Amino acid sequence: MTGGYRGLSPLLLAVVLAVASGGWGASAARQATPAADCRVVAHELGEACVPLDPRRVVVLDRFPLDSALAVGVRPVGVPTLDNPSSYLAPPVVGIAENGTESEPNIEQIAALKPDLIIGSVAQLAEIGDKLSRLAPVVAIDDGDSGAWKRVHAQVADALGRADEGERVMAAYQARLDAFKARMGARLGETEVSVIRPRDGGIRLYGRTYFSGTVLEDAGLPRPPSQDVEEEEPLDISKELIGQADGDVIFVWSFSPEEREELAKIADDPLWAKLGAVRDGRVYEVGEHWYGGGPLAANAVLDDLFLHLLGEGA
Amino acid sequence: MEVAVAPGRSHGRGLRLVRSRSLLLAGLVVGVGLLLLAMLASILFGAAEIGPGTVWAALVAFDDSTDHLIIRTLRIPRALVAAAVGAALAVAGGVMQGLTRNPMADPGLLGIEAGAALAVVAAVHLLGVGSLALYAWFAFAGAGLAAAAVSALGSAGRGGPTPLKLTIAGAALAALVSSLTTAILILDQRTLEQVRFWLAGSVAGRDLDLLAQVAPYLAVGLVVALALGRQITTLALGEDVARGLGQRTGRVKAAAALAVVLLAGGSVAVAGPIGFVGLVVPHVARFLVGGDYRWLLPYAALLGGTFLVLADVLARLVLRPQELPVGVMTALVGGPFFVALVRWRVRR
Repeated sequence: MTGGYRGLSPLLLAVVLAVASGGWGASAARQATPAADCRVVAHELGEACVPLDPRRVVVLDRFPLDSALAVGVRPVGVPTLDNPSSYLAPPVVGIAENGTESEPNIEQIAALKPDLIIGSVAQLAEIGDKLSRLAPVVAIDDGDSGAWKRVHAQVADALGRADEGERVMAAYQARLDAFKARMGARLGETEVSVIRPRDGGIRLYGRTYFSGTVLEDAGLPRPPSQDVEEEEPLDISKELIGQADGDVIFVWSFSPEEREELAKIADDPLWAKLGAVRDGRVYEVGEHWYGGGPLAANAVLDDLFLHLLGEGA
Repeated sequence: MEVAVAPGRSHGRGLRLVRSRSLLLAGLVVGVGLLLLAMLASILFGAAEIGPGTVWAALVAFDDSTDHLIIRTLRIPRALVAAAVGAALAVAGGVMQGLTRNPMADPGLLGIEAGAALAVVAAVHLLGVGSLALYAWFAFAGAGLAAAAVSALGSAGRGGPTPLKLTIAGAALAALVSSLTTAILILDQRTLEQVRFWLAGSVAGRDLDLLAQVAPYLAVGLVVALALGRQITTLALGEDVARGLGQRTGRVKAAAALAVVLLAGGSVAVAGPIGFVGLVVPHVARFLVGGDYRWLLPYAALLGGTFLVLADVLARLVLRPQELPVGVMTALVGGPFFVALVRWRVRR
């Protein structure tokens, strides 16, 4: 094969072999027996008997990590965050890393001597069986960024902090109410567009994406192109850039390199034609708009307060 | 009336079309017409619905509206880039096939695409390079270095650079280089996110500035390749035959390799690695005009440009409003076409 794909076919073969060699599915209905010092928690891949007061929690995935931090748990192991400007970076300074999200490192996890391991279904389908010999393992289905509230509830429950988890959500709701009150009549008239320029085109984010759920909670309408229940973002050609317009545009980026790309958009004459650009209502925001849990949602709310109400966080 | 003979026996018993010179020239004119039609189609069709009247107005009565901007800043540059890259890749492929006497040869044989990909991936991973313009220069450098390495490897040992040694050296180096590329992409998720679109090959978002910067290299490569038409035809008859006829094969090979690097390296720099154009288009040209490279290369240029422009139009219409990278389209269209071509030639 030509065209730069030569190196990928061995990779594809390896992936197919790895998937075919089976995972944890066979023992999915793993039963757990309750004991005095642990309680049974049902999760996506079976059951686990989690300690009543987990002290050494290892988290493998960033969405559950957000929720764990939100309920006040400081894990002993976190996934490697490859974005240094991630909103999750400051709270996890000093915590040991246990491999990347796509490849958790079992040896490093073992070295941390965990008493509870929380990860995503995607990560644990393969290695959950092995990890469960180290500590009880709880698998969370966090593939859908819009379902973060369910993820948060599950993580809080696994950590034995369901009450705290509810308090966090109540505080979030209170902030939403305050936002809606202060926006007043302007709320219904501020269409918010969320985009990300990518791969020569524009990516639009709909209502059921993480950021979409927060915007919907806040009562903000979306432009027609984004008023859709698509979980995946919509890639459109730059020719249809008009669909990215709204009263306000939030442009989010995942990394510092992407932010450089954004700077070039400013010179594009097609971009300059958008109404929000002409009104100067385009705001660059960070990767917390990609998703997470209550911490990310509150960070998004901070952006809304700042840019739509002019109130510093 | 000069008759163009096809000495291409070594390419299998393909249909040998004996043509008169004036017919060949007429064919070139038709080719130019086809290319222009294809470019027109590229400007008329796209994700946004824009009528022909507006297109015309965009060209002659520009009024800074969104539609006119789309035509001028998105579609026209795109059509020009596709035409230039398609032509360059096809000519480079033709030269490679003549140079190595291997009908399956393409510019990738010299490791050009692999070298360019590694250079870009390494630049993103190590230096955090983010812009297309910078990718271009790294790609060009990587392409040149890879070609130099393959040529050096292929020339080592007795007998100098024979086609067989070049082919083996090219395959080995390409395998090594692309495994390095894959290693970086596996280890660094962020780099993968950023370059995967570029690696598929695309003419989207390439502005005229970028094309203008690379154009001199493409132009020089094209001139050198076309000027070498007669020598490559002789070389394609066989090393001994060429030497016997008094040709300085070493020099011809070096000049041809330079042309390939300029053409293919420049193309990769602008549009990323695009496959199948360099492989398939020279065969179509050969089918039409035989193995005389003085005609084959110009025909390949026109056909290659037309092919890539049309592939790009398809890439934009097939999954509206999304756009496929054109490198995917050339594989989808070129692959089955190539299989059919090979089977047809083998059967004859």
